[in-house]
Amino acid sequence: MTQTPTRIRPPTTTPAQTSSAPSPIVISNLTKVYRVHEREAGLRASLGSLVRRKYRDVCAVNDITFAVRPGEIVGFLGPNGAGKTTTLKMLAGLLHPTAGSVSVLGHEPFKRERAYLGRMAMVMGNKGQLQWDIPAGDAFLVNKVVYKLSDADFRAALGELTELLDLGPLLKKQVRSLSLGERMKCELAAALLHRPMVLFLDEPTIGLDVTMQARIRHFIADYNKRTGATVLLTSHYMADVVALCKRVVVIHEGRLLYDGALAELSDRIAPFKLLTVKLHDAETPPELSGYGEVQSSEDGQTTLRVRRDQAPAVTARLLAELPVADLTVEDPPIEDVIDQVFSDSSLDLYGTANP
Amino acid sequence: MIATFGVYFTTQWASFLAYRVVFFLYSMWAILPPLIYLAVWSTVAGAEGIAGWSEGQFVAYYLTFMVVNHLVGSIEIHTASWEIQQGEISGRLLLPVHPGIRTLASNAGFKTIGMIVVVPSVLLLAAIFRPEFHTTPGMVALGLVATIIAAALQFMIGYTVALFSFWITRADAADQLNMVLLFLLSGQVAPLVLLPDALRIAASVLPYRSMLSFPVELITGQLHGVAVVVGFALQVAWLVAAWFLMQFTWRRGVRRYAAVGG
Repeated sequence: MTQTPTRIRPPTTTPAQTSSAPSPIVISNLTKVYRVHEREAGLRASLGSLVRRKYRDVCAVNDITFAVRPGEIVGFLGPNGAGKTTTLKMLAGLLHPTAGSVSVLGHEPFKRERAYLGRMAMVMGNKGQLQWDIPAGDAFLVNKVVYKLSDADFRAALGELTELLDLGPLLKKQVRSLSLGERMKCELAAALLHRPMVLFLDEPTIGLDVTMQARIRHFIADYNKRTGATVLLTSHYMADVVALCKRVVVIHEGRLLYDGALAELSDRIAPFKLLTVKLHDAETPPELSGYGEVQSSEDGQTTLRVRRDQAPAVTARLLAELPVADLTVEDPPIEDVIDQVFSDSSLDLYGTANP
Repeated sequence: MIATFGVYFTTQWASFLAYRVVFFLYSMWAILPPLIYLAVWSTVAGAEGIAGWSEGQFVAYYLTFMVVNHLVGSIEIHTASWEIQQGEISGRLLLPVHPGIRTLASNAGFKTIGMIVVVPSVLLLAAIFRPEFHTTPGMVALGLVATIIAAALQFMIGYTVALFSFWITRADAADQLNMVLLFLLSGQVAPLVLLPDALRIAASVLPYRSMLSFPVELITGQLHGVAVVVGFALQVAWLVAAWFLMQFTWRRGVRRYAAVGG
């Protein structure tokens, strides 16, 4: 990438210092190193590892710094193994950082103070926390006691969640007999009964059908609006991210790649527009490669990839020089942009290092 | 804390009642192995008795043993160990309550509801085998106190062993060792007074007599005077030691879990 950096990552100024209310989530130079035991496949290696174990240090999270403002929904993106879940686990107090610091609602999460645990929630889409053999309604009653909720607060919260997530028919069913989507709704409800002010969602829509995904998304947006809770969300479904997060933080191989507006991400990584042109009387589509890189050409329609800064000029030329029947100018799909980030880890989104 | 225990306790009842067959089989676990030894020893004792014990005394001993065994056993330790191995503990650690409360409530829940199976079974066996009790109400009352201490002790030791799962993937191996020692030294194979001196001393020095045999000895009226005091002193000493051991293991275990990840 040869673009000039328009924004350099500020290493010390976090949003906490620019906005009036303190940031509920502050992560500074956070690092997590795992020590993993490894051995070759096979019996010989297996016996060998009985005597001498080989260990390797794996840096899951490498010097990450960012903060989340109150009430913000931030998308935390990265390919599998990028360090997203490790970071979320450090925020939730399940993992101890190797270096750097995390602060959530003014607490150090790994101390697991009740005052902290009672104000946060973490929902893992691939790992249910509800007990399988009792109805969800009973599990909610357990949480009422665990989080010391008053009858009135509990009833209000449950009523609201039941309505928003349409839980009515599910409350009396054993959790084991719920469908994946139904279970996810119950997991969310169980995690939100105590109205946490900070919410960590790790793949909340994983494995759900499109309708249910949309349902969960609306619910998260709604919860955020009503309670002002701060949300940090990971998802592999870009639809989730586009619908919920204005801001995204991208990590790859443990390093922070990008922190900023979702809209700006495509400018930075994919600084081009897609121009789709349809011409009058075009039985044989004309050669358009003089205008830009031809991406596809079918049914008399041609899609051109044109550098963003040249898009207006190229559009004007197309309209002036050709019998244009229809012309659309679009940003590349966000999936493609993200795919490019994940597949090319040498991308330097801040332009701070040498290319 | 008490409210949390209560709600977990009732949930556990609901959960056990959902699996009636499994629950029934688990309850029989406290009864069937001692039943074998009841049959063996009462047959061996026959009409003349053995080592001063009559046939009916053996029956009384093993029937008492069954009830106490059920009340002090800790089967949910396997679940606790499994939760750590599978990383399920993560979900529990997110709650503002110690995960052990839930395990303890599950333990107490199983024992109380299990009495539905244990009491009628033991009464039925009593009608068949004719026990012969030589005890006093005072000794039975003391025995019940000792039963509660033994239950607490077994829970703490079992939970500590389950917590080894934070370090080793198969803590059930350590649990097996604990169970074998408990089986040999808790008065199950034979009443401890009938064991060779070396084993009897081992059972008293190790926590195993305090974990099961001692309350049975009290209830069946085997102990008097100093022996009662010494027995309680040993039980309390082990209880305190187990408490600190459990706390220490928990803190270290969670710290390790937070270092290596689940």
